[in-house]
Amino acid sequence: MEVEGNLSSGLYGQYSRRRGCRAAAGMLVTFPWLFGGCSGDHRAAFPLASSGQSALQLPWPAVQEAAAGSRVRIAMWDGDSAINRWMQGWVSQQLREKHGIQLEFSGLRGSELVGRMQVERDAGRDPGDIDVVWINGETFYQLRRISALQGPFVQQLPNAQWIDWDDPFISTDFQQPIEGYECPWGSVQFALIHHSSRVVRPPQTLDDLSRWIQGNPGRFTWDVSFTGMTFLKSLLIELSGDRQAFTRPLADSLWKTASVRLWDWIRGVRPYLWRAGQTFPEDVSQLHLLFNTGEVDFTMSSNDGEVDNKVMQGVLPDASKGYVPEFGSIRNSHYLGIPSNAPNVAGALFVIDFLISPAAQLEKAKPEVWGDGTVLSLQKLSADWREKFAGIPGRSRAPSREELRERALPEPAAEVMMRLVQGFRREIIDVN
Amino acid sequence: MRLAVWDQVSGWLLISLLGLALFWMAGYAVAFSLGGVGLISAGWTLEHWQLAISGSRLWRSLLLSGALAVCSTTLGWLAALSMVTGSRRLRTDLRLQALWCLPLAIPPAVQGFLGGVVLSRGGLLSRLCWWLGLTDGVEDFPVLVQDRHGTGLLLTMTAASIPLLVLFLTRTWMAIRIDDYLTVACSLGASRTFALRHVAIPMLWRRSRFLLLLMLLWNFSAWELPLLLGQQSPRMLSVLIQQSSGQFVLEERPQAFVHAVVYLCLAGLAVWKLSGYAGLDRTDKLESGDG
Repeated sequence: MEVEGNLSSGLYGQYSRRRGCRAAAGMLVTFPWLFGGCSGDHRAAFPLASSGQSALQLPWPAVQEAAAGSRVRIAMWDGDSAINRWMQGWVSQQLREKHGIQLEFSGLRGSELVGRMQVERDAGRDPGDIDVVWINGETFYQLRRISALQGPFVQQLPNAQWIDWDDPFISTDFQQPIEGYECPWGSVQFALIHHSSRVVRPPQTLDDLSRWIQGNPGRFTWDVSFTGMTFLKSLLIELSGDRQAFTRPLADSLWKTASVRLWDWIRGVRPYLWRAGQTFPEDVSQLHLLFNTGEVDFTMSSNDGEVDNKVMQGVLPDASKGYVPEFGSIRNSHYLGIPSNAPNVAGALFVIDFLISPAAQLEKAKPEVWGDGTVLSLQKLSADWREKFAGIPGRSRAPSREELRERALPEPAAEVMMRLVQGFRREIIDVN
Repeated sequence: MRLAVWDQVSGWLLISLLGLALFWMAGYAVAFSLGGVGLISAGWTLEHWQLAISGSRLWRSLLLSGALAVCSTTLGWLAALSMVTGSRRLRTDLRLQALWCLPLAIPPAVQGFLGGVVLSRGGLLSRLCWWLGLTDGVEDFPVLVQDRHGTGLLLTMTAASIPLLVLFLTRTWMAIRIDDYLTVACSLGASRTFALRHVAIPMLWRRSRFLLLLMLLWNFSAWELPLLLGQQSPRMLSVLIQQSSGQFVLEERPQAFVHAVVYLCLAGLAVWKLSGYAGLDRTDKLESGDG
């Protein structure tokens, strides 16, 4: 208390009201200078992507030369231990041993990445400290809006020639043409995962699903993160009555009709969801945990190959089976981009090219590694590579990708995801 | 003389720097919330304030944050007070006091994780209940984590507040020799309970007020614990701010700054009002001759 008293008399006591007013006035004088950092003029004084643009025009041998021995920092979602292990193990090792590149990781989710890039763009920070970003549609949409990605760069990558550009699930991202500003890295389809001994005949239609949920109270839910919202998107498309409706520019009338039906459907099943729908798992890993501990009979994944991978890791029980119901599921791709203020653009180009190489794509597609679908066209590859891809051990817990593709739904525009997140929060989560 | 001048200059310098930093942050937050700055800003507008204030999210969040902060701080203080007044050994055994320092070294994220491990339906408490035959399975155990009433969150926040308060009360007890006052009171005919209620507790209360004010603000702005153990709606204020600033919809980001400005105003107001109550302005009053 003595210390407290001394502090009070030493600082607080000296700070009389009159002096305080004078100090505030002094600060007001400095106001324009303080906020100069946020103004457009300041941004203009620090043009972004200046260092990067030149590397984008270099011939590939020069890129290789500039990248060799450099440090490349990649920002990626780090919520899956198998993916982390592969990136920090096999990928890092290959790049280090063969090319002297040191790969460093920064764990950032899409929304965090958008926030960070917005702040950096706002503050005119160039160079930044991230060279490569792992993104998907809605992040791509927001980063393009704030001009935080540089490009086009994909045509510069030698391995881009093997990419299956004819596949619309790869060449467009959330209904946006990628225009060379991001490079496809993996292609996946959403799958529901059920416990095959507890759910012998999994529901196939939306009505079946409603009946199953109502007949098994507390045994079904979805997460409020990316995977859960992807599940809701497939319901939204089904409830719109037209599978192609969301491939066209989003009309307010369509959104209104379909979303009202979706909220009604959720309200109808809500009392029968896990914890009576009063709360939802924060992300899919929490949902996996509930499934593993037997609290629910279904989990889900944005990646159709994840069920095999997760069973091998022991995250999901042996009885787990993946499937896509008759009403379909979203198929999409994930991509790699280069921030507009990346400090090592040549290194970023080289790493991205390595990650889409047949060797890296093959490794990534193995169920025990990641089980991520390749973005390469096997027809374009040599017979030797085709054979290697064909030799990947088959999936035992999910139908083949070709089979699933028959029920594939295209990703709606990024705007749908945003409206869905907002609507779900407003109509469901905030109403309890 | 030189020392006194340096004292004054350094004091002013510190206040100016702190004020400048606060002014800068608050100014930026206000400007962002009014659409004046930001990459996708469409110009100055009150729209974000109207949207944030007209909805119930902010108010429910404020109410929840305030209620949990007051309840956890009060319960924590009462629990610590009971322990300190009830156990002579706790007051005199330095090794026992050192043990109370250990929980202080646990970061809030780990406290939240441990709270979940103990209180969740598949957690230790639930298993203990099942082992004792009090429940037949997971379904019989009440939902204490992410529950509608914030039970698990309140319990964990309270538990997290106790160690610091126990240490503070113990050290204060010894420093101002409350035992001597109690002996005097008892020798004058007061019972032990009467002496505790009318001598020890008021003395401890007076000296705890500043710490309680800090703890109240700390609990009001808690982030990790409500993120891990709190319900999805309403969220505590820090989580609400983080969520509205960290989501994909860039147009909603100014609303996060509205929430932050409201928080700053409320916290500032609370410090200003409560610091008087906590005795911080005593020196001022003495200097101006009011007290």
